[in-house]
Amino acid sequence: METRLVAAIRDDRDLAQRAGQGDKEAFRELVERYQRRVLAVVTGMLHDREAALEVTQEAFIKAYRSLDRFRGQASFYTWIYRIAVNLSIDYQRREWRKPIVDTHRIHADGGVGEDAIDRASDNHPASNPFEATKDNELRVRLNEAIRELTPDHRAVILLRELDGLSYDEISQVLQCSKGTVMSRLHYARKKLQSQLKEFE
Amino acid sequence: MNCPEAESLLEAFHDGELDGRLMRDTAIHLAGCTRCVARLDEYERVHALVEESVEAELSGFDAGQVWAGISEALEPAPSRQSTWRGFRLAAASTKVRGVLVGGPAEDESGNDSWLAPAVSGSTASRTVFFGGGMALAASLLFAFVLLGEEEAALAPGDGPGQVAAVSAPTQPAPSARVPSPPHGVAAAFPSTRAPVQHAQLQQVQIHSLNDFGGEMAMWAEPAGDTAVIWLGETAPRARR
Repeated sequence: METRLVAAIRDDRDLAQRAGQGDKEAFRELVERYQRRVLAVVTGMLHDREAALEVTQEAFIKAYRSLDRFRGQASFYTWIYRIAVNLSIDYQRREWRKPIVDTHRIHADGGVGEDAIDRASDNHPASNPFEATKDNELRVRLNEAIRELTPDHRAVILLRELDGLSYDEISQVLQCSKGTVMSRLHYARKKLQSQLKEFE
Repeated sequence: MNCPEAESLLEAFHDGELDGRLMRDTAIHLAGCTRCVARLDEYERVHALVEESVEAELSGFDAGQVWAGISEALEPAPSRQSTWRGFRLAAASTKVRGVLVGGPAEDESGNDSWLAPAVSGSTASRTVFFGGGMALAASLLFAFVLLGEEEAALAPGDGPGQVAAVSAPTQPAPSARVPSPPHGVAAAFPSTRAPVQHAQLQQVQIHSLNDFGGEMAMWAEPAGDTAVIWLGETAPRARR
């Protein structure tokens, strides 16, 4: 009996095939199916919502234009993740020399504000501890810790924690061995755990 | 299973990556070991915080924005593509004498008119460049195009070459409308070669273009913002 996962992958392939033949509605369905998950990972990679939206869109557009190269050996979602993660890393490389600007300040109500906080001269968390709740401060601290990871470590932990991708799937997305995935994941988690312990 | 053994498996246990037997043994150990359960909780905590953190950043996000941006990009953009394909073609040909690119300006009545940059005297808005080292002795070049709907799709060029400069037309030029011509330029192409099929090409006048024995092609971009005049030994081939 076919599992739901296998059925979903098959369905994705059908949609991708139709999209490759110019069926935009089929592609739209794929976008709607994965946009939130891709956006979440890219947001975690970039910590900039506008940039994340831009990169997510770019990833889907690139996927659409490369559908003829998607032969269905991989699942569509590992493929789109691979494109999105690579674009995120490229984006970060481009932005590397620019001053770091945090465009999202987490407010006491847990929402995300638009005020930019220039972190270039301040390595401490962006939120005001007198205004923010402890949970939000913790989140800010965690964001800081995630930012301090290398893009490869960040990608591994986001794919695992946000999307629950298996080690095999992550290795497909990042095109590295399963052992590398496990080692990066372990390192990233230890790093985050130690940051959180420092905070407590 | 003792604690060191269990600890080495906790991460994979948390991720559901253990096989059945190890999964069961670890679970049995956890059932009786608060210390290992506390270690497992640390993994769970990181997971929850990462998830919450990103969710907070995404709060209020309208997922429709993603598709809105994508759908625009999926629409064919023949104007830009064919324009740049033309540039690439120019760059790829050693025999290119020059390429002129112009755009429409709005006259006082609000109608689009196509202006010849060199003639209109516009300094900032129109793009004119001549490349390939060819001496074009005189440069009165009038281009006049009425736009249509068809796209001129060019075949790839056949060799390396140079192009002097490129810039995109951005501002309207002073109005210098040229009277409507009586005939087009399709006849300028040798009958043995498929002409570039541009939309309702109206007129090209060339004055004093000394020592130019090559072919000329001209096409208007369907989006209505660019006209390209091609001067070279070989006109780009049309591909429909």
